Amino acid sequence: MRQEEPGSGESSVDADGGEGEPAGPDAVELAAPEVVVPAREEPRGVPLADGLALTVDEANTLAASNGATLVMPLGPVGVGKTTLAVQIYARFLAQTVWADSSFCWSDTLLDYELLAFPSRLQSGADLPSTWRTRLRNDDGHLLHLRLRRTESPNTRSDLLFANLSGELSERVRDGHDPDTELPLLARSNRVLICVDGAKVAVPALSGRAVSGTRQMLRTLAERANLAPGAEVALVLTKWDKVVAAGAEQRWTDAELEIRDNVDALGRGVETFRVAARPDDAQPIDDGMEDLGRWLLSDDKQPSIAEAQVSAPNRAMGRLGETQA
Amino acid sequence: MLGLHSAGKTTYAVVFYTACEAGRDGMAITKYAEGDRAYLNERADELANCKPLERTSQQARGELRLRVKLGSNRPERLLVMPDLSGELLRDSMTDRLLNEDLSQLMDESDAALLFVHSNRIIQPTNIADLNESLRRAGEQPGGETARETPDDWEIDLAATQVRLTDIMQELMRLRGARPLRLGLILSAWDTQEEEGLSPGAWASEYLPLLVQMLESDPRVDWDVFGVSAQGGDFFGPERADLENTDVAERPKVQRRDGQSAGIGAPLLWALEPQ
Repeated sequence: MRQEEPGSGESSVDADGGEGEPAGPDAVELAAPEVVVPAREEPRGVPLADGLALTVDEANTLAASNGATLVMPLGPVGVGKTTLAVQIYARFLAQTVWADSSFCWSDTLLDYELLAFPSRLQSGADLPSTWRTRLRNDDGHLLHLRLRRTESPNTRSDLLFANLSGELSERVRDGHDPDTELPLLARSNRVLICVDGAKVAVPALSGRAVSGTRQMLRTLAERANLAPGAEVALVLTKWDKVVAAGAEQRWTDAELEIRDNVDALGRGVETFRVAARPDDAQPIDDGMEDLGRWLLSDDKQPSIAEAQVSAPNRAMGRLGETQA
Repeated sequence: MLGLHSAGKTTYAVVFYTACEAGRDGMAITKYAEGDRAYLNERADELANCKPLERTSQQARGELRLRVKLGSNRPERLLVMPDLSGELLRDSMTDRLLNEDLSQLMDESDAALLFVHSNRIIQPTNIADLNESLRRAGEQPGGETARETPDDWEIDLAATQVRLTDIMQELMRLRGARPLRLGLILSAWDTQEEEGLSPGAWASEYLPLLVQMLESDPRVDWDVFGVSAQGGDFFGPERADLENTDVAERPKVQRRDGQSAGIGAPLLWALEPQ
């Protein structure tokens, strides 16, 4: 509350805070005490890349000189799409050569580390998990790996993994337009149709998992525009759970059922059974190296420059939710 | 010299100084009446008394600035190694803003030594591996998944090899096409004796992501050294021997293949390739 001496020509404020009589001509105006608020010191230094998931524009810049392989994992919430992408990265933390390739660079190292954290002892957890799709903002959802193959060490391959919420795949399953829900699908070079092995392992749930996959594939066949040269693979995730439940034959039968639907996309039918991050280190072939080699076998590397993001993606997932 | 905090940079610089001053391995200080060696001498006295050097704070920074020869047939050179706190690098990577001093240092340098404390590596150990061990022991793992949210994650929780890869990626990004000679220094190397690995094999085993990144970048010419600048643990059984040994004679250095070398070997490699 600023108090004025009488005579300042301005309204004075009395002790009760109300306005009093105007000040007289002899009044001396007291200057309000000067309060100096120090300017907030801007941090100085040279900006570094943030290491977080790339936007489409950032990915296009990266792909501009050398192209990139855009990998689009599709499947419902909890199927393991993020885990798949993260565990491919994690393989290079354990060995210098994996799937006949070595790591060169990643523009999204910090997001990879964040997403991998819940599967590590450091997290204090008893069971591994992956944090649900984490996004820097509405557009940043491409994870990046630059690799080189042992057989051609001077050649670099950039892999971009679309880390999208399973809710988008579910909407496609339910009949919504794939081009609207998944704009990047039209520019993807490798499409992974993921089926949840944890559900296949349970007799009561296996049929629903297969049905959901079939519905999504039918919608894609009827409406999706895949890029020329794009290839499609059927990927059963959590293979260790299927083996543990003795349900291998159940999946073999289901795989035969679904193959025709995959084939209808006209992009070949590769099939993989993977255990990207088993609950414990079981002595089974985790199938990941075969998948890795297939992802890197893309010789055509078109830019994703023409991807049209026609509408904001909905239901991108909330931070803090875990998926086993 | 680069490295996160407590990576052994200061200890290396001080021990190198004492070795150079003592004329070890043909090294020599060629001009004494220059500069101010008070910081180096004070730190050397601490090491002589088997007192580990406290980590360099951001305020109390020293510098190694000497006219030296790194070998008897080597040219004289002015060697300048600012002893910047590892906290500067750590904070730079956390804030994604490279400290100006560090940036200037990298701009002016054609070579760098990247220090990593070999006994303080955060490994990306999987829960699955532990659970397998528990099951083999007849125990069942608990049922909790990670409770922290992504917002709780910070870069200090990342695996060491990833942090170092992140550092090198950003430094090389800023350098553009300029090449860099990089000596990877595995400090406290005496703690890894039981592993029985050469520094090269150790780096591939414990820092594979960084090794792959350095191998693949044509701008980077790199090598790796195992360095025990102190010569051993001041609080371990070897203290008695260390107390009877001159600071300049204590260090143990191994080249990539495990061959022994002098304390100046990493600098010699970085600065005088021939």
